[in-house]
Amino acid sequence: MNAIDERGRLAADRLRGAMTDGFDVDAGLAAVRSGLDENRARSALHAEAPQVARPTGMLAAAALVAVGLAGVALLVTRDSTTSGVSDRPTDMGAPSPATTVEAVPESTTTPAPSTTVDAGAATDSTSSTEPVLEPRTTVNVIEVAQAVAPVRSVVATAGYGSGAGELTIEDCQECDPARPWAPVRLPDGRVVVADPANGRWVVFESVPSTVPGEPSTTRTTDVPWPDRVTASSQPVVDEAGTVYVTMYGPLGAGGTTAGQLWVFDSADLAEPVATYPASGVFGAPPQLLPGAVVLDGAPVDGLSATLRPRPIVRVMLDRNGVQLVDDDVTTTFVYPAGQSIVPFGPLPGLPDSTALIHVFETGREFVDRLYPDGRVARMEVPSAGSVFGAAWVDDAGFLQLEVADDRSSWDLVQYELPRAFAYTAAVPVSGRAAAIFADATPEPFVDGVVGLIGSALGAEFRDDCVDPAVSDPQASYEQDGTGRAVATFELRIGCDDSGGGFRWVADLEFDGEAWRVVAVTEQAICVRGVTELDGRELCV
Amino acid sequence: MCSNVIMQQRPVRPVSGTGFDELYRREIGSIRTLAAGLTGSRELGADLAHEAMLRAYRDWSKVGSLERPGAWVRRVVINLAADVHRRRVRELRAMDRLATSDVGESSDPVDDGFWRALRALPELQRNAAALFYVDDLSVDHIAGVLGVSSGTVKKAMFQARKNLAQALGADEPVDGEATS
Repeated sequence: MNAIDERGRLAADRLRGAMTDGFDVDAGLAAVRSGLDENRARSALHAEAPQVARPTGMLAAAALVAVGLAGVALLVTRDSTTSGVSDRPTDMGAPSPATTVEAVPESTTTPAPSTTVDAGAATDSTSSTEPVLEPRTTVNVIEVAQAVAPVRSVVATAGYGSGAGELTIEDCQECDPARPWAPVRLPDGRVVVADPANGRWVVFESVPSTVPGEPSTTRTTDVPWPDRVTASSQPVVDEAGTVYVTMYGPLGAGGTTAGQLWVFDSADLAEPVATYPASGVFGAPPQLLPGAVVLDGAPVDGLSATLRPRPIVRVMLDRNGVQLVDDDVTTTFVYPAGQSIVPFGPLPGLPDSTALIHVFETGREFVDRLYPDGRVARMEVPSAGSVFGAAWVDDAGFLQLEVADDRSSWDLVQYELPRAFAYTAAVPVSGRAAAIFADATPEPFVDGVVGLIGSALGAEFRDDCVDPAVSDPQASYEQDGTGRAVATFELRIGCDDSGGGFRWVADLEFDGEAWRVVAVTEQAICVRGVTELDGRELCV
Repeated sequence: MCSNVIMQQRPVRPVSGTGFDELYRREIGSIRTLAAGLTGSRELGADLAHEAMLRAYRDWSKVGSLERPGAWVRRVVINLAADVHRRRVRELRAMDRLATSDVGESSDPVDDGFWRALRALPELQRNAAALFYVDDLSVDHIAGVLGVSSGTVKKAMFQARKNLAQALGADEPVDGEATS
C-alpha cells in the first residue's frame, strides 16, 4: 500500500467513524419506512382515537353478514359517455358525466338494507326485520375487494415538450428523471400541474364556447418559477384555494441551496404569499390538517388549512396493512404479501370517511377505496408510466396525467371514485338497464334475452373499456310448482383486461302469458370470488 | 444533465420482507460515509444517504432483485452527489481555494485534506477513488457501480492517486500500481 492509499483509508476510517458513531440504525431504518406514512404528522397531532369496545365473541360469519347488510339501496343511472378529445373539450370543474348518481344515501354506520325492489318502481324498500350488526374491524382485503370497472374521461390534453402549455419528462438516462407532479384541481375548477422539468406551473382552464352547443375548450397558462427553483413535493391545495408546495433551489442564506414551503393564493401562482423554511436537502413536504399545516412534524405558526374533517390513514408496516380511523371507528385492512400499498397522495382520507390507497402488484396498479365498514372497492388504473401517478382527489374524483406511448402528448384524465356496493344491493333499475330487463319477454327466453342484453350492454360499455366484452351470460328457468315459471337471469359485464364490472341479477317470472321482472339486484364483481352465507352473496 | 433528479419526492412504495432491512443495516454506514466524503458535508451526506435508501425502498421490487443492490444505492448516491456538486460548484471551488493552503488534518473528518483533495478530482476519478477508499471495492466492483469498464477504472485510479499525491504533497505511486 502506498502513502496515498494509506492516507485515503485512514481518512475514510475517520469519516466512517464520524458518520456512524451515534447514528441509530434502527431509527434511520424507521425514518426510511416512515416516508410511507404521509399522515404521520397528522396522526401525531390528533388525540388518539378511542378504541370502541367490540364484542369479542362475534362470529366471523356474523361479521361477514354485517358487511353484507351495510349500505342502502342506490339509485343509479348509467349513461356512459367519454368526452371526446379531438377538439379538446373540457369539463374540469364538474364530475364526469359518465355516471350520475341521482341519490346516494350511502350510510356505512346504520345498515338499512333493501333486499328486493320492484324494477318498475323508482323507490327502494327497506326491511325493518334485518338485524343490525357491527361492521367489521379487521378485513383481509383480498377477501372483500370488489372489482369495479374504471369510469374515466379525458378532460384535457397537452403537448409533450417545453412549448407553451406543454409538459415534459427530463431526458436523463442514469437518474430518476424529473416529471410532472400529479394534477391538482383548484376550487374554481382550474387544474394545475407542477412541471419541474420545465420549471413552471401549467394551468389548465376550461373556456366555454361562445357558440351555443359547441364544446368548451382548454386554455393553458404557464407560470414560470424563479431560475433554478423547482417544486420538490406534490402540491396540495386546501378547500379555500390556498396552494402549498415545497420548493427547492438557491433559497437559503446567501443563495445556498435549501427547501422552502411556499404558500400561494390560487388566484396568483406567480408569487407566493408566504414562504417558510423547510428542513432537509429537498425540503419536507407539507401536511394539511383541518386548521393546521404541518411541516417537519410541527404545525407552522400562522398557517391554517381549510379542510373538512377527514379520517386518519395509517400505514401498518408490520402487517402490510392500513388503518382507517374515523371518529370512534378504527378499521384495519390487511393486504396480502406481494401487494404494495401507498396512501393516495397528501390527503388520502376523504370527507365521506373513506380513503384511497394505491396498490401495486406485479406490474399492475389499482386504486382501492376503503370504507369504514370494511368494504373495499378496487379499480385497476393504467400505470402513469414514468409519470407521477394520481395523487389528488376531490369530490369529483381523481386526476391523473397519462402520457402517450410515443410521448407525443399527455391526457389529463379524470377517474370517478370507485364505489363499493353492499354485496347484495337491490337497486331500483332505471334507464337502459330497466328497459333491458323490462323487455325480457322474447321467446325462446334464453337466446333472446342473452342476445338482447348482450348487444345492448356491449354498446353501452364500449366507451369505457379498452376491450369491452359481455361475459358469462347465463339464464335458466324452471317451474316452481305453482304453474309459473321463475327465472334468475345473471349477466356480468365489464372489461376483459381489468376483470372489473358489474353483475345484474334479475328475478323474472312467467305468468303464462308474458315474462315480468320481479326484482333486479346490481352487484359488484368480487376480486376473488363469491360465496353465499345466510342467503346472501358475499365476496370471499 | 439530471438537473432535477434529486428534487422530487415520489411516493414510497412499501416492501415486504426483510431484504431491505438487511441491505440498510449492512450498507448504511458505508453509504453515509461515501456521501459525506463526496459532498464535504456530514449533514448533506446523511441526507443523500437517506434519500438513496428511500429510493431503494420505493423501488425494492426491482432493486431487491439485483445481484448487488448495494451497488445500485451507491450509484444513486454518486448521482445525487454529482448533482449537488454541480449546483454548488462555485461554493465548493471557493471553499477548496481557501483550503489549498492547508491540506493537513482537520478536526472534522469530512474536512480532512484528503477529502478536500478528492473532491477536487475530475468526476470519474473522484467517484472511483471514493468507492475504493470508503468501501475497499475491487476494480471490477467499482466498474460495475460506475457503469464503466475495468480498464477505465484502473486508469482513473492511477490518475486519482497521482493527483491526490500532488495535492497532498505525498510521494506519487509508481506506475502500474493498481488497486487491489
